[in-house]
Amino acid sequence: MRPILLKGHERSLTYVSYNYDGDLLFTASKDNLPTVWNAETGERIGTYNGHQGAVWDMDCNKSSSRLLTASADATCKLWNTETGDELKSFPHRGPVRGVAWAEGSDEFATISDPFMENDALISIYSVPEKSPVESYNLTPRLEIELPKENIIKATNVVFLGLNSSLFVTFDDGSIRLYDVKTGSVLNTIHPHQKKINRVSFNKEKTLFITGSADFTAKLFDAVRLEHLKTYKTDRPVNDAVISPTKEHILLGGGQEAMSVTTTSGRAGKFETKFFHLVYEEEFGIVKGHFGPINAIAINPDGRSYASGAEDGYVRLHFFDKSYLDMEDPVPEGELVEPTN
Amino acid sequence: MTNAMAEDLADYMSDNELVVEPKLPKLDESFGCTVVISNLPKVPQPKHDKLKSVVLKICNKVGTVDVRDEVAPLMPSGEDGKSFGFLFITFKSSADATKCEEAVNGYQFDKNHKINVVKYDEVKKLKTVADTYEEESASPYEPSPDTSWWLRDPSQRDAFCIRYGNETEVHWADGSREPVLDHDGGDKKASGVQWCNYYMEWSSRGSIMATILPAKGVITWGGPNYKKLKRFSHVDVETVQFSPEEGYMMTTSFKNDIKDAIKIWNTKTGKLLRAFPLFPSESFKEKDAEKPPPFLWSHNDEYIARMGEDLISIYELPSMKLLEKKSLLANGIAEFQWSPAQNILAYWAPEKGNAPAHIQLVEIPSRKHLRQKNLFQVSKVNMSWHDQGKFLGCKVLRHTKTKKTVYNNFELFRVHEDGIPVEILEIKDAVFNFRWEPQGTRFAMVHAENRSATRASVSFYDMNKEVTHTERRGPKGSKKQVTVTQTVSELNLVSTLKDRQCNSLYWSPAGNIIVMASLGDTSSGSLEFFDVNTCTTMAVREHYRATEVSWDPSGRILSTSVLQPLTGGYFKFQMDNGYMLWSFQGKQLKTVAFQNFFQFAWRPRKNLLGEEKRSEIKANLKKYYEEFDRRDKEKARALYLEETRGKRELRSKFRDRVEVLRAGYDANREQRKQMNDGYDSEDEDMYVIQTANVETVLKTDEFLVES
Repeated sequence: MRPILLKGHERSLTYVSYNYDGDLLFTASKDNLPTVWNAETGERIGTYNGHQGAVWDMDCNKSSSRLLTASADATCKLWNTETGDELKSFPHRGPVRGVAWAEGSDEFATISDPFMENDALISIYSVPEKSPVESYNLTPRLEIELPKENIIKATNVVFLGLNSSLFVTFDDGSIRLYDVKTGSVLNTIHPHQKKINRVSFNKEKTLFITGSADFTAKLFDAVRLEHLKTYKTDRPVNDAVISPTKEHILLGGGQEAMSVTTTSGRAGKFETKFFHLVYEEEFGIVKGHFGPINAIAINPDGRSYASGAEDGYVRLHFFDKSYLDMEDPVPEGELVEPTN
Repeated sequence: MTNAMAEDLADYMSDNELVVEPKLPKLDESFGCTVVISNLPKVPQPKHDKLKSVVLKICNKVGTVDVRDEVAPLMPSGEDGKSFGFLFITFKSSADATKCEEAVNGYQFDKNHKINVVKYDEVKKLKTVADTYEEESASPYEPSPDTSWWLRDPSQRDAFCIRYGNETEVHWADGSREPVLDHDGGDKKASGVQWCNYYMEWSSRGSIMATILPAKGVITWGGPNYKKLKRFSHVDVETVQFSPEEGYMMTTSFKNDIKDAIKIWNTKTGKLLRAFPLFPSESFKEKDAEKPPPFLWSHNDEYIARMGEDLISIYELPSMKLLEKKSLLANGIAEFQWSPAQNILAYWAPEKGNAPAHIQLVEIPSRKHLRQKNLFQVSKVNMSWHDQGKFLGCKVLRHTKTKKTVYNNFELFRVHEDGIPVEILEIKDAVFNFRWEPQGTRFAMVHAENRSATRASVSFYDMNKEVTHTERRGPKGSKKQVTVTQTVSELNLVSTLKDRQCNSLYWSPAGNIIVMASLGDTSSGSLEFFDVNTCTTMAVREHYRATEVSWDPSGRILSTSVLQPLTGGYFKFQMDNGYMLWSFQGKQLKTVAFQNFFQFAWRPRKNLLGEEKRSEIKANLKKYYEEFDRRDKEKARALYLEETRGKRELRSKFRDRVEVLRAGYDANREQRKQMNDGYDSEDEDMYVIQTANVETVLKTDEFLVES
């Protein structure tokens, strides 16, 4: 497996994702330029120019027409994916950590960090694609204040249940479900001891996996919020994804950037780890990065994946035939008793 | 004004009579400071005061007696004026009363009277005792757990214990398959029992597991579920050591100022046999405050001994009385060691006045001096016994007269031969490590030009030499020649390996295989697996930053670990914690990582087969090999089935769950389609594949074609 090295960003990567069809790869980094790449060839198609701070998160809608970016410059921007035109900029009162489209792409939600005297917020904006951009209201349709005690920060936001609830993860290891209409908390679980770095869902949004600083990734039933599996590693997990075609999990992580210098390069463990979804067993690693992996995305067709790391590179990997042909370690079909 | 305040005030302003409840101190009805002293002589009236004053004198030594009138010593007497033989005494504090109870109780007052001291509160309890004695029903007999069950493991596996985070787990390993969890203390956790929060220790033969809880003491566990066997209470305990036959154990607290810092126990009954202070004498404490001289067990649980000043105190077990009531004199002793196979002590003493430095071998209990070896210009001696007590190796660090240069030589005692001959081996290099081969006659050492050298040499020596010579046999004049191989006692160099990254040596318990490791801060953690018989390197491996290496008792598996200490200065060792298992050939079997890893300990196992049986097995190895191979295959197959059965179950359970979720998702398809403006992303027909042909002219050439 020879990866394509995507050298476009000048600073460490924060997020990588494929669009719904899997032909575009979006990457965000601490430099101010979110970038879109051809997911097949690794060719850089263009950048979205306008942000003045690190870009923490982005989300492309299902039809790939519009792109949202969340930035530390306290704005969330709406872009025309194809032309790269900035359609609208939504000012916030603190760095914007995460952004997510609602089903149907008429609304989106952002999470912002507390800043100065302003509290952390979840905001929902209405941006129907059919209405003219000029008519979009810059004040959110709904604002939910996050609990002020202990100053916990939100790390991810996702719409769930046909836009009925908002799923938000926090840096104290908890997950909350909010009602989209009223902003009240529907459910709270506390699956991790430390920060949940990233959460990612399968295509159907029926399963999700959390990557946490407590060295584990955990798989959940997204409908009932039930914990199903735990994948243990020896490093903080920065991102984890579920393979769409195989019963596999991909994990990326590494020591926190601040403590990397205390680790020897070869023991840095900056690899992508492959786990079996069901048996929770690690069965492979892909090396290459020389900094902790911050973000992983797997193509919806399951044939390639991209990883972005603290070292500023995105590595686009296409799986070998041997991986694609790999069968489950336990034979399918009925158990054959020994005949002796 | 709120209503409540108004009510309060109304009460205050009312004309009702004041009810005053004075806050008087509560009457102290306890008699905690009072003790009853009994078994005193019964004396007539005139001698009452004399007796009282004698008793008071004794009591005043342990505390202050309250002599106010209302509590003055009271000695009841009969009508004839003769006292009943007991006396009440009240101290100023209850602590003094307790002290009196401890110290004065059992005091030999005179020839016929040994006095008893009991607290008055205790005496009061006697009033409530029923007059008739009711026999307590005997508790049903509970057999103590079988502590040798693990030796009968049908798969002949070895066990090891790991301590990480807050967990303590015992695993099985046999070198060919994945280690299997035996016990993780789940039952103890469920019942809220903390079973280990410090280090654990296996007993010398592995039957018992001891866990240390520094706040309380040591607990021993045994049997298939690691049931609690005994508790040994010892506050601030840090280490526990078992005697070689497991009959006794020793717990040590390194708190300098307590008088029972070292306790010797009977392992089975849990009875405290004797306690000692950390240092044998005050002067010792000043001389070498850091390291107290250790108590050492003799090989068969008969004695335990500790070095004192110019002597060795040998105690007999289980009485813990000094052997023949006197210590063994050992002038100038610096260190001693028991032979691991006989009751022989070896000690060495540095030069002192006119007496030369010497190494001495003493037989116990006869105290016969078996061998003395005098040495000159000695800086330090390190003694090391061979496992079966056949040899004693002494590494002697010597200096020249000016004390400027130092050099090593080895004094090798052949303990099992008549007269105990000593061989001398001189080494110019600095020697780091010296190890006898278990079950053999060889030893290995690491040496380098100087202490700071990064590359070292490893040399192997054999205490015996195989000599072959030809002999004429048969009738005189016959030319028949026979080659005879003889083993003679002669030290010889087997081989020297140069330029190695190595500072520690680990012989396999089975002998022959040795692992040369470089451990510690500045080292890489390289491991070289070496076969000494054939002098070949089998593998060179690495466990980065490894701090510890150990063999399982059978020599099948080597473990290497990166540990962090449980107390103090741990930040240096926080990275890469975990352990690796290797086959004796250097094949990596298992890698496990932990965030905080503290201890890795193989369960020791005594070799149950005698020398004869072992050589018989060696001779018929082929037969055994086939048998074991067949069994191994069967087991592997059974295990595979077992594992896949579990995995199949997990898999089908998981797939069912995904199926249900998928069905729920599909049920919402119509709704989703509406939300997406009638676009159904799951409908394959919605995808339109357009093929676009783009023609690019790369190059145009014009040329004439002749027709």
